[in-house]
Amino acid sequence: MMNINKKDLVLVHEEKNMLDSPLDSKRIGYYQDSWNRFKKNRASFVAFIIICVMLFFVIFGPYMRGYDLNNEDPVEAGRLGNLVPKVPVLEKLGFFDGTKTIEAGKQFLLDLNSSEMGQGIILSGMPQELIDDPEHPDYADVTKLEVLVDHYKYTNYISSYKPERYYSIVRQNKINGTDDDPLAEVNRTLTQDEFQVELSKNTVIDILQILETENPEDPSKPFFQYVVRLDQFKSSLGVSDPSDVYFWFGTTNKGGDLFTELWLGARVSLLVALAVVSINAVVGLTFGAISGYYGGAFDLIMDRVVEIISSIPLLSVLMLLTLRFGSSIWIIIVAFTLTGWIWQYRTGRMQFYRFKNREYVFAARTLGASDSRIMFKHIFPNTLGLIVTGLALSVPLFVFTEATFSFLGIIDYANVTSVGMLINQGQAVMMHHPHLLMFPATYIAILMIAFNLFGNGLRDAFNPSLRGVE
Amino acid sequence: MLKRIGLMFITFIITVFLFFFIIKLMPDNHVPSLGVGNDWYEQLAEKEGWNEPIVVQFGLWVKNIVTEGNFGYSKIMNRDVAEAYFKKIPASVRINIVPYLLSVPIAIIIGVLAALKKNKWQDTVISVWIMVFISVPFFVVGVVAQYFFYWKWQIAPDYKIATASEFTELGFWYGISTYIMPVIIITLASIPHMARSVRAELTEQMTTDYMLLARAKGLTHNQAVFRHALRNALVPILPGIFIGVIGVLNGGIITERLFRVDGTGSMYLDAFNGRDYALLMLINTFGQFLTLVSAIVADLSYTLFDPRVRVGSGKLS
Repeated sequence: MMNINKKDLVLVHEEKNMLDSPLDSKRIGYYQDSWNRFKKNRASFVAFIIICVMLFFVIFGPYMRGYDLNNEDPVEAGRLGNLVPKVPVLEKLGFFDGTKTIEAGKQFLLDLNSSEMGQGIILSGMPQELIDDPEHPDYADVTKLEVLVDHYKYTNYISSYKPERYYSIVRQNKINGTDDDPLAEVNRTLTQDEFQVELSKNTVIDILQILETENPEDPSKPFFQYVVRLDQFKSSLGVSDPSDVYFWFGTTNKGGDLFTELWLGARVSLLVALAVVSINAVVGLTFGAISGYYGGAFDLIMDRVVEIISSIPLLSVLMLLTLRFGSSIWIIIVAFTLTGWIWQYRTGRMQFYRFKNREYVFAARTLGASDSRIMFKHIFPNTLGLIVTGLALSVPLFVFTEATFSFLGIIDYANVTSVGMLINQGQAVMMHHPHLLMFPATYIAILMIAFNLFGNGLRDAFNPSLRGVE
Repeated sequence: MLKRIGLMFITFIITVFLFFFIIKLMPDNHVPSLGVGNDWYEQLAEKEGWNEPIVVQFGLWVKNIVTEGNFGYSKIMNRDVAEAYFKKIPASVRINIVPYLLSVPIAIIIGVLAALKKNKWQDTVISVWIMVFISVPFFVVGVVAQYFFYWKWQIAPDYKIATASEFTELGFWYGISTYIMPVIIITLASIPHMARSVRAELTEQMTTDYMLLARAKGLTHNQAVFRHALRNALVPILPGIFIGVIGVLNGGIITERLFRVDGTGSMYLDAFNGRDYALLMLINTFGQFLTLVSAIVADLSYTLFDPRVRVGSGKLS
């Protein structure tokens, strides 16, 4: 290396005027250009926004309702099961207004209609002549009626005042000579302390019976137990009027808030997706880069290994692993990464193989760049677009597969209900409670379409050869 | 060619051995029933060498298959697994064969239509449909269809297919009518993948030079498309058609779970839920075997239909 003193160097152009003016146009880099073209693709951009909205709900959705009764008190929550969806603003427009068409016994409905507790429950469907004359001859043979009810008030009525089976139990008693309590479903036995608490909350409808048991310590003060009927919504939700209660997506059959459960399930599958996709990317790209760049014996061995792994169906791996190790989240991640990394491996290998003989790589090597520098600084940024697209498209693929397998019951998380499981539960009761099926199904449909549109848009945006074509 | 088939066969044996190995790692939760002689358990342990190393067990397993055709003894059904499993294949074929036969020609027609009307409204409609059916998981489509067609609108006679006893009780035509909805749904869901690749291939072929030559020779647009471009476009799709046969034989777990088909797919789920290892082993082996066969057939079909491809003559990468 020659040593040149800086003072010996003279600027040649110092005296002359440069007539070129600097360029006015803004410099656009590769990513800026990709982003610009991505924004122009309307469908993909809308999909991107939808994904952002969904992510917002996945992160914050579970905390928005602040409803946790199904974990605190599963028995009370079970009485609030299968409520239909009701949303504050939309209810005025006629959607999700918390009404439902139900079928119930004639005598039960008549009783409901005339009782004080049952005012305003039946919205339509009750024939006027039957109300005027309960013994109306036209309806003598009719035992069941279909009516439109406010489902929240109706649920409150049947869980706190009179159960749906009241008259059938009474009839059974008459036929069989048994003595079953027709109110058994609604009455509760409270201790004195519990009774005081409920009294102070003003939730007691009436006292059916007071039981007295002897106090072995102090015979003069016997224990009292109160058999009462409680206003269900008042005592378990703290609301005096059922019209003020809103479950946006309704409740599950165990009384959980479907809105909360849906986003919790979505969160699990997206978190697992994130883990799986990033592990796949790291492992696959590392191996792919090494075997694509260096080639040789390693490449040959990897070729065999990949062929064997790719011939194993994911379903088999998943089944065997869950049978052996249970179905915790870690096992799911392992099962999906064992076979999943080969896709990223193939992308990485192909890209590094393609670019390793380009002129700029030769140039870098001539300048003395090490192998790792060439791989990270020169080849990797060139392949990034394709890799990111591959990752963006593998997220929906994972969500798809995970939902399918949890629908089949092969994936069964211990303490979370994933979306696939929600659909499975919804399928079992779809004839009576369609909302339990429709909300999770709609969620997954929208999410999948949005992710695929987004991925396709990304693929086009990162492909510079399409520039100016569309 | 032979070398390639040989390599596939080795891969097949290795994967089957891997399955065997993992299955043998499963805990054996057999509890001997009190008082009763444990004959069958000890006989099996003797026959399949349960106390030997896993490699020896694998050898015995292969030997039993070759000498007696015995794949093992099913725990949940108490009989030979192969006999039980292969009996279920007709049920799977019954539900899958019609959608398969329908979907291939329809997919090709739709793909061609979309490619010919590129960027017109027909193409848009087809693209949206393809997008929706590729994105939305099949089980969601199935469940929602069951809800609307059976529960809500009550068009379909049942949400599941008729069982054999229902066939005899309610008549042949009722039984057939329960197949209509599942068949339509499976067909609708299996078209898009193929239609998409037909469209992509054909649009690519239509921009090639030989198409220009064909037009220059005086062929009409349609003649050029159907005589030259379509033939070339279908070559990469042929293996997919052959692989589809596997789906027909092997059944779909989701299809069979949704429509209560008593076929191979639902038996797979039963084997999983009942931890019937012998049955799981058979199903996995059979699946691998079908994959092997279809891969070979697909390779052969390439060489048959496309003279440019000579498999085994070096790798294209």
